[in-house]
Amino acid sequence: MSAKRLWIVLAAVLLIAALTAVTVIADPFGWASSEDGVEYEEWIGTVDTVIGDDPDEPGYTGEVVTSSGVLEPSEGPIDLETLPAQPGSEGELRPDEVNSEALEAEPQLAGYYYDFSAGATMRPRASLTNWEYDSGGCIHPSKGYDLFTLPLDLPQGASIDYLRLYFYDTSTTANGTAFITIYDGAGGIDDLISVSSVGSAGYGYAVSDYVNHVVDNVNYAYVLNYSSGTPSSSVRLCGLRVMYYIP
Amino acid sequence: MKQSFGWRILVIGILLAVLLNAVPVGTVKAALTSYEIFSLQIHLPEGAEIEWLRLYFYDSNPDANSTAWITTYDGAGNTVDLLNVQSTGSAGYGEALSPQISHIVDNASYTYVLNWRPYELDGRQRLMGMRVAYIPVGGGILYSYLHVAGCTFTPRSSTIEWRYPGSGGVYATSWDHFLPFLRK
Repeated sequence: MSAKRLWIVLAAVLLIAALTAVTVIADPFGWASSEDGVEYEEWIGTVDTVIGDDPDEPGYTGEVVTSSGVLEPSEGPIDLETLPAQPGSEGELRPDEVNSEALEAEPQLAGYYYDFSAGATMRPRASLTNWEYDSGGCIHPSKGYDLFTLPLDLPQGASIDYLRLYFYDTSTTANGTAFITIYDGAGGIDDLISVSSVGSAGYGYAVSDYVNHVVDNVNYAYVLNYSSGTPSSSVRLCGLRVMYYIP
Repeated sequence: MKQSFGWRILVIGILLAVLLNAVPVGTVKAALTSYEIFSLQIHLPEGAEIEWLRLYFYDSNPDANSTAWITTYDGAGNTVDLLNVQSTGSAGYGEALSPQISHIVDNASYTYVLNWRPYELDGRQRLMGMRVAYIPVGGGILYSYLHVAGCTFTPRSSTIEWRYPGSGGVYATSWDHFLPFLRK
């Protein structure tokens, strides 16, 4: 056998050996946890251990800052198409609007409640953006800048008070931003609130200003939106928590 | 001499294209992609007691079973799998029930997610749905159910493809388009 052929055979054998080793070491059939196969890093950041020190927690007595609006909207004007101001609305009840104020099958008692969603369950709203799972329920875009979205289903008449963003942020230049956005199905949108990640110390959380919005499921769809400032793992979305009040 | 060199370049190019496309699909697909879990956010009433998870599946693969979990995250990188349940057999459609647990829903501290991991990237392992049985506050011994279809789950990373097989199910597939590494 010539030296050239020997090299080719040797390279092929090495390649097959490497692929086999990857498969055997990974042992995918032995995994039993939802975190198996995920690469962990050293934990850094801050965690909320005191209940009552933030405005979206029971027992808080400090200053409440009411939102004055969203400075940077989740959609720019160029994203909006011009549509008729009002879709067919004749002012009469349609079949799916009868008794819309009725209580749900499992009514919740008056009080404060939380709608807590994992970052890992949010998805980009266009397929131009790719995403990757990190660990601990966190996610980041690996390519592209589309917003990540998730429906927000809250009881009719509930009052949205605060949005809390859980993040992992080691970037000194970029921050992630979360929104609660409402859509009327006719092209109308409104960002109720936004909150951005802060610092670059790793895991952390940020609480929005006071929202004070009454849920109107008849006229609006509620969506959680998230914009990552960079398509890299240095800024990750770990969760979004909405505090709402049922009167 | 020049002509011979051109043929070799062409052959090497074809071999590289085959390698980039076929090898991930074949030899190492499990090692590289089987940890890609499918997930779905769920919301349960505060104070409810989670008791069971039922997995609805299609499994015609005699060599591997898929696994489902209820997982909680605290937003600070910590994870707890409350319970898991595996598909069984290879007779096609079926369902499997988890062991019973007693977990009180705490929406202030945790978010609840349904996870599913297929161990084969083809239509022989499908997620058809999951059903969480829980007792609401003041519900006595009567169960309430959160029942979700498999087709509402999506993968946790965009490095995996998925398909709809009909009947509300979903399954994972290998990369089946040209030069997957370039696209993903």
